[in-house]
Amino acid sequence: MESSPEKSQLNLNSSDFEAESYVQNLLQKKGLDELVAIEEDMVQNVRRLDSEMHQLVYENYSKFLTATNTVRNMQTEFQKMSDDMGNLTNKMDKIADLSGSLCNVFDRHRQNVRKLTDASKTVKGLQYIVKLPQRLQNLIDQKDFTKAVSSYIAVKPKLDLYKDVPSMTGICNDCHELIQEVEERLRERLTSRLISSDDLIDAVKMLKELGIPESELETKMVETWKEQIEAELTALKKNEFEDILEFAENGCCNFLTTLSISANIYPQLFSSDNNQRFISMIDEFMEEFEKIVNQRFCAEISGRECALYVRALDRVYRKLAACDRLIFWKDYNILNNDIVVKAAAHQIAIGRKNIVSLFTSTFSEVIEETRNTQLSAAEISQLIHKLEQNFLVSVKTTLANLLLFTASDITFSSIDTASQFLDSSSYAFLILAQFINIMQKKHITYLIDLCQEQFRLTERLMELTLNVTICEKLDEIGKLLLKAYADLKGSEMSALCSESVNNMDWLKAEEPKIVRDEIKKIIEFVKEVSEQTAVLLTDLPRKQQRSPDLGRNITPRHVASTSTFETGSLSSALEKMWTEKVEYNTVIDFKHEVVLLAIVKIGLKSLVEFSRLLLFSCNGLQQMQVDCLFLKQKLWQFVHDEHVLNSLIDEVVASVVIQCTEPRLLEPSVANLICEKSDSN
Amino acid sequence: MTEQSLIYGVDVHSRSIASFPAEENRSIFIVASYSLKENQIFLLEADDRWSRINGKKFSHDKGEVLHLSTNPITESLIFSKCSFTPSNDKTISSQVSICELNEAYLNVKTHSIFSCPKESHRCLKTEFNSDGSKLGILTDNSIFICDVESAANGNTMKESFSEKFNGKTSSFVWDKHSKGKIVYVSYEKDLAFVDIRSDKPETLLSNRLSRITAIDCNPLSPNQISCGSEDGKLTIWDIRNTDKPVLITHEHQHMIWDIKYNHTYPQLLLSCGSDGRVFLYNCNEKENRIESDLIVDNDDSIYSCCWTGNDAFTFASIAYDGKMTASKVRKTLKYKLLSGS
Repeated sequence: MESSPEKSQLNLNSSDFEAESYVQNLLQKKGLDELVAIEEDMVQNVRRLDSEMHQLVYENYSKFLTATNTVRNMQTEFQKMSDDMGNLTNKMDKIADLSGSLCNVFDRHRQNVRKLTDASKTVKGLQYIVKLPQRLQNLIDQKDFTKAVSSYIAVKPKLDLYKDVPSMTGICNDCHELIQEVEERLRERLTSRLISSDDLIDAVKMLKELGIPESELETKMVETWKEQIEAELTALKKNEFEDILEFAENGCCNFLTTLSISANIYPQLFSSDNNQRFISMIDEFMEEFEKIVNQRFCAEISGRECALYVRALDRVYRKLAACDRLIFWKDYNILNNDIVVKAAAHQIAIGRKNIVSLFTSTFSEVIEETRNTQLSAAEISQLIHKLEQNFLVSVKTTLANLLLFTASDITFSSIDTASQFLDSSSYAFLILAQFINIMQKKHITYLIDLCQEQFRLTERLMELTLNVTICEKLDEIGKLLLKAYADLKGSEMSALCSESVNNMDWLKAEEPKIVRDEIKKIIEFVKEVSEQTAVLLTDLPRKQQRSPDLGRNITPRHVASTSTFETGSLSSALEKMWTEKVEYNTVIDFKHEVVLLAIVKIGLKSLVEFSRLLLFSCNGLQQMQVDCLFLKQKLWQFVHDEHVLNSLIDEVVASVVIQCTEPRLLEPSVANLICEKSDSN
Repeated sequence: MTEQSLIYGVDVHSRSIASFPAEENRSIFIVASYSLKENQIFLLEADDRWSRINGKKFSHDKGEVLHLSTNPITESLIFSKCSFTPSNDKTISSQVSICELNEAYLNVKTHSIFSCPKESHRCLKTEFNSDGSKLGILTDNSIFICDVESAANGNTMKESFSEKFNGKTSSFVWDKHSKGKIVYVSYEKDLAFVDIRSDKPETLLSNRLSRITAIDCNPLSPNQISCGSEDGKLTIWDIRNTDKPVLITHEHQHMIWDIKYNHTYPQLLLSCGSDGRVFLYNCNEKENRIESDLIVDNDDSIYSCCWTGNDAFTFASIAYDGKMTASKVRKTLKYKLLSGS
């Protein structure tokens, strides 16, 4: 390539461009046609560039012209301004000179004029002051304390100033006395109860103006109000009103009125900087009021005058709401609502208590009757019926009462389980269980519908407990009660079994001759329970009609098992594989035999457990064998599931065999004989 | 590692099972026979992979063992047992003995014996206190406390305290927070609080609905006791306020024979009863409820249960027919407890 200096010389755009050498170069390198082309091209470029340049100049030219014009204008303007400024300075100088001269002229007269104006003012003031006592007196006579105070205040500073001047002293004292009188009158007004709020406000304002410190006034007012409100509160507490409506109208409303007045006026008179005492006082009063009201409403124990109760409550509520509107620093709405809710809840509680107590008393009567006697089924049903009737009546009355609380949302609560009757006889459980069963089936639907109609609650069904839920709940409770009954009876039977097994020294037992009395007691017990529960439904016919035939009842398998008892644990384990596990019911239906079966199962299992803890001699074992056979024979008529009965009793015997030092069982026929002998006794 | 229960059949009737709290590596249990003919002690071990239980049999002195309790501190396998045998004059002789199981020599050595005194018929239960220095013995109408001293040739017992009760006692437990000074004893339907420094026992709960058959004391909260009763109810009481129980549940259908709190997570409770069931309870006091899982449903009554010493989530129970079931707490509950909720 060409070297750089040469390149720059030949480069059209560089600063070292030399035309001569460029042309020479071209001539050397290019042909004729090319040269011509280059020339044309160059001419075109030149023309183009030329025209561009012209254009640029023309464009900017107009701008230059405008710029020059503007500058020239500015120049002329500034010139004008400086001329004006010059004029202004001159004029200001002139004015300054003139005013200076005027000041001098007036100076001499100024002093005089001032003196005169002062004098006239003083004279006017003195005149005013001199006439002040008289004027004050007039105003006092007219009871126009406002004007009196304002006139006095206006002049007070002067009076203080001239107190010592002898001619003024008299006037000062007079005015002072008069103002004292005014002050006293105003103070009286503060504590008077017959004053209107406006007057009171004015009085306080005037006292303030008279120079009495605000805090003193505030203290006085707060105390006055405190006394007044306390007086009302004490009257409320004393509760010498005839009934609750009077309590509400005269007692509560008076109290609230006084309170609202004070709450209303206080903010208008005193600044809220140190109103803590006042606020706390009002709070205290309100709290005490709430307590008293709650107490009074809760002191109503009879549910009979519900209408009066509701009206009284309503009055208190309205008045308290009005009062609340005036008190802006605290929201007493909540307190208000609380009072209403508590009162309503109390009334509901009363109603409920009435129902419960009526029910309880009826129930206690029922218990009394059952305490010492055995009841037949018919008598039990009668008692249940009596309970039902009483209950229905009491519920209806209470509902009628509660209807008055139209805003309330009543949920009908069902009866609690009779926990307070736990110590009394088990009849309690049985009767209550059956009662609830009947309730659930027949009456609940009717009562719920009644409730809904009366309270127009059909739109609010969501909030109520459903009919079905209540039925289910009652069913559950009924079954729980029945289970509790079964458990109670089961543990009684267990206690009997425990006695029967633990009271004897089995190692030193004699040969069995008869079935022991304790076993007979157990059977008596089961018979008793069976009769008690006869009031419940039975599905299968009683088995008393069939005669107990031993041969039929002992299946061959069980006969064989007596011999396997002696061969040790493995066979008895095998034996047990064929028997099903005995389930102890968790839910018991309202059926006679189900209940009995549950009780017997519990009792017999306890017998198994107790016998496993003891040691038996051979005679002991044989005695137990005889006892168990007797149990089997006698209990089968009460227990409808023979299989369970047999397996449990066999379990007893098996356990005793294992715990025996020399296991040797009696022959079945011998055992049978002993049982029959005992049976006939 | 699966969570299924492992079963081992000890071929003899049994009522007692215990674990060794000081054993940190193996899940081992000791089971004693309750039979007139065979007298054996079994050492059962669940293997590490939780696939089977291996058992070793040791012969032992005559006697039906009612209850076992293990020494919670020592590493050697020392335990106490209550047993009774018929004696020749047609009476029952009952005793409590401290024994040591020696795996190397495959024998069980008896260190010392406490015979049941004449006023009582039988020794029912025995338990070491939490530092192994005292042994409590419950007979059917009294409680005895013996000081245990370990010497070179074995442990010796010396009676230091006794208290008689008006009714038949059924169960007792040491209070785990008082270092061997307080026991709780249940007799008839009452629960009594016995301080061995004072003269007479104080009744805590009285005249309940049914006999209390099992009690255990919460290892973490100092005032909580749970009681199992004859009708199958499990109630948890705070002894400072015995008007009403803290929690109550009724899962068992017949009497409860044993209750055991988990030593690390006292919300977990085991109970076993004569309906053949073992329940694991998870007590949530704040929400006032108890969840229960049925772990074992056996044909025959289950008389005793225990937690292992090495794993807070493994436990075992023994049924009358000799079936020992070892189980674990289910994983979801285990993780919930481990994460601290």
